[in-house]
Amino acid sequence: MIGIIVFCHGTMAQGMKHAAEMIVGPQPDFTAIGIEPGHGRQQVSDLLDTAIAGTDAGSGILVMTDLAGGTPCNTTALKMGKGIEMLAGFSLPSLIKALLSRSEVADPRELADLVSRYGRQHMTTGTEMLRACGRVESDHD
Amino acid sequence: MTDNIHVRIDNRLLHGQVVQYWIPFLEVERLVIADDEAANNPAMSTVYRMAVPGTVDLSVVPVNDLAQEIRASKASTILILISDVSDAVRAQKSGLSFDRLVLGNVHATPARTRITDSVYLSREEIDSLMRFRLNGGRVEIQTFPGERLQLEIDDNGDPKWSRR
Repeated sequence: MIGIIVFCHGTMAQGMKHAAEMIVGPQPDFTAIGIEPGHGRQQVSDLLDTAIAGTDAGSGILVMTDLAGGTPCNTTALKMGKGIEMLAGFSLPSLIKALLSRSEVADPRELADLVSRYGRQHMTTGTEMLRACGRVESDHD
Repeated sequence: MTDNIHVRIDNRLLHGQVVQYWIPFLEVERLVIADDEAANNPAMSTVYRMAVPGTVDLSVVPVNDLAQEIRASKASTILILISDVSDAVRAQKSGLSFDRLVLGNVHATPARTRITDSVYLSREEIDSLMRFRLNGGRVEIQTFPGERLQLEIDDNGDPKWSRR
């Protein structure tokens, strides 16, 4: 099974892991790590190395980070290849999708493609949702 | 020569805070990362190139080449990112002139003491900053917008960080 690491600023990753497991139950090979103020480049890199070592079940890892260009994203980008793929800007729907689809794809890159497409499609607004079920005729302006 | 040069010390160099806030806020046209490790590691340079917004011109140079890089630039606003105080001192010795130094993120090590949650400094680093201050430079800690601390010298000649 492809391992999943969520890697964010502050405690977002731990919160996302908790939220996802409220929905799909406890998950194996699933690790949450976060950077804090006062962490340096090397410390962040070591944190990720430890998580990778603890999450790899032999089929590679998808590291889901919170923000393109942020430290979790940049640090992970330096470790790509060797069965590691990175995704930036994940959401709860995309994380759940990743957890539920990771046994059905060949490798982390395929999982990342699938999950990023899904994440982009699954952000919506109240009006869009009402419109989708026929409750809003036109924009109220 | 560019008038508007911001020199920021940040061990994480280009990261979320810089990309999301400082680059748009300062209207940065050119970003120069001055770091020996990043300049000598093509993968690191690629990651920073990937992270920087498309409107910003990026170069990644060794610290000793920084002065020359800046002299050659015609950009209206330049943001320089440097890993730590000793590299900033080295940049200055190699000919870079600046009168304001901003500390964004300086990570904790056993030799450093906490100044703020994001900035930790060693005795040697504080001494370097005090020399810069005594020579007329301004030293500020500004990790986020809003909160800003300025290095001042108290009556005993000791460093004092005051809110402004």
